[in-house]
Amino acid sequence: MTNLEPTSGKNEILAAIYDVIREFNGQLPPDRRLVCAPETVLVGDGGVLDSLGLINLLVLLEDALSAHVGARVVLLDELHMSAVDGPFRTVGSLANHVAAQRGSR
Amino acid sequence: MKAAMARIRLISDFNAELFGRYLGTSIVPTPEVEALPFGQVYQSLTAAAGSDPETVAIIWTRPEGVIPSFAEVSDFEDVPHERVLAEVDLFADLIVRYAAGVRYVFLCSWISSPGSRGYGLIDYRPGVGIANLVARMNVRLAERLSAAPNLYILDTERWIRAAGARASAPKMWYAGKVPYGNPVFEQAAFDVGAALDGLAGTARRLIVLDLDNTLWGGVVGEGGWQALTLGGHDHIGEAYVDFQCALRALRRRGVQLAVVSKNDENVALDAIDNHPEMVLRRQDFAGWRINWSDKAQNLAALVSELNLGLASVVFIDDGAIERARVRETFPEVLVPDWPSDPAVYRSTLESLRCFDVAAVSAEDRDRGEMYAAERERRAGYERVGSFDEWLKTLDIKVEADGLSAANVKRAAQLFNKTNQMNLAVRRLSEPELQGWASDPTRRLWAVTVSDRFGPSGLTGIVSVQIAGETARITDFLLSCRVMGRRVEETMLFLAESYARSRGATEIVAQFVPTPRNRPCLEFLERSGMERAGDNLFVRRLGSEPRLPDCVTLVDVSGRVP
Repeated sequence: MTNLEPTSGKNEILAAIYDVIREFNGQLPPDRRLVCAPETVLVGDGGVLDSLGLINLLVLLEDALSAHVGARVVLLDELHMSAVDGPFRTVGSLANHVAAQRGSR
Repeated sequence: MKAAMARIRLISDFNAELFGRYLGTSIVPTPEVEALPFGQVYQSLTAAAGSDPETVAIIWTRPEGVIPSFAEVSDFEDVPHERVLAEVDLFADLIVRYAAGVRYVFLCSWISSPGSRGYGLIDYRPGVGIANLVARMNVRLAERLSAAPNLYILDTERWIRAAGARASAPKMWYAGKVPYGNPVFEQAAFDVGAALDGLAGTARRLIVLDLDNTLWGGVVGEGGWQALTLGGHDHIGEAYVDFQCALRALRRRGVQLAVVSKNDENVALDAIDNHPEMVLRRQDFAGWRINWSDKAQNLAALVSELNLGLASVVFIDDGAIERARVRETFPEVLVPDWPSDPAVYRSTLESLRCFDVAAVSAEDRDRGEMYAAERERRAGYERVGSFDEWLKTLDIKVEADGLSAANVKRAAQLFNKTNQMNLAVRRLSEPELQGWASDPTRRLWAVTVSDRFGPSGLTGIVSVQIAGETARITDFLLSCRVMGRRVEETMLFLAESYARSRGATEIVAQFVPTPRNRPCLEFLERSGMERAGDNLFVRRLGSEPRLPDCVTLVDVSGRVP
């Protein structure tokens, strides 16, 4: 199980991610929709997102974070996207990545 | 159409993959969606060869992506707008040629780049402004493309407006060549689904309305019509009037209105007849059930009386419990969630996508009057008592004509909208219908019905194909509003008379069952034709066929033997 690091606002971040997932799921057939849970796999083995899907999800999340938590977070990072053990592997690792970015500001 | 459709093909100058995904989740049954390589619009339109009748093509481009001189205009270069329009003409002609090879083409209208103000103050000045030019380009497209009967232009601007601030997606463009936000593609997919519903003949045709706090504010049974909130110097009253105006406008498009209300009928009708601010009067309603019975049962009875199917119905009621009752009892009835604020009743009604049709005919516009006339007929029937005697009093006249330029649009509409009295449920476009009927071994009659209450219009199609000594009824379809008046028997008479004149010794009809065309099977079973196999009906043509006594048949084509 992925543990969220004790960074402030993690619940808000997860709430924003889940809102985005619910919107994102509108383009997926019912059997491939993302589950709102930290252990949901996004990319790599067991993940449902292709490159366009990941780009779309991250762009939606950047906008949602700006609206939800007032944070300007940059997620479309080429380096991280290429690594299957990178921060976009699961919902939980994505949330940690966002929290870390906020914490570094 | 949707049941037979195999594939949607996307042709675009941008990455339309995201749009394709929304199409896959918005349309039932799920279509196969093929996005051609983007940025190769002209190549895609010119490379297509042969016939692909199961494909619906969606062409969605940005004007700067396919009209080179427009790209210059949008960079504020001084380019004569007539040059731009000349390139639009070439693009349009290419699309018309392409459309000949597919089932349908949906072309998404052009828009100015979201967020761009163009020339600002003078952006609508002819010959200068970009907004003015885009408007002219769209009108030019519509005019040039009107030659293709299977081509429809969808309104991109509506999706952009619906998406609001989320219409533009700069980061998606730079990262993936996707120019718009997700809400734009979602709205576009909904509209494509609505268009396909309309072309498949499954658009909704009847709105069943509650009265209290739906058509007017207040409860009429409490204080009479004088106490209702409707019109006057009251913003809520105005909202109810506006809602009724929107309903009346839909009626002019051929959508019928009916009432199901828990009220005393006399009190309710008194309000409808006499409230000075009522927009909708008694004659605007195809029927009503106003009593204290269960609304679901009343709705079913009313729909049956109107010879419609439940899948044709939209139910609008301010009461959440009533809506739930109808929704759970009849899943095929569309029951939109209804807002509690009358100020948004009109906009909620206008946001429904379930009324899209491929054409609006004069008969559609007159359909309300036809239903009113039908109410009079039924009232007459109740007085006379004997059905056949009553039919004789109607002076029913049936005119049989061939397919012509004057009636092909309405005939195609009948093919695509008739579900109950329909033998083979073939869905044909106008070009397909004309092509089929032009074969010399085939004969098609378009049947127009009228009686002493007025015309019912072109309401029936019967077609026959001769092969040696066997005549096959290929199509037999009749609008529900004239069912049961011996028009069915008259159409069978036409087919049999023709078959005998061509030397056929037997006539056959292959019934193709669907969830909704059981009335046609029941007619065949009582018509005197014999069942000769799996849904196959046969009659030997030994004796002269018989025209019903109550019908006068007039041949306006000169071809009825």
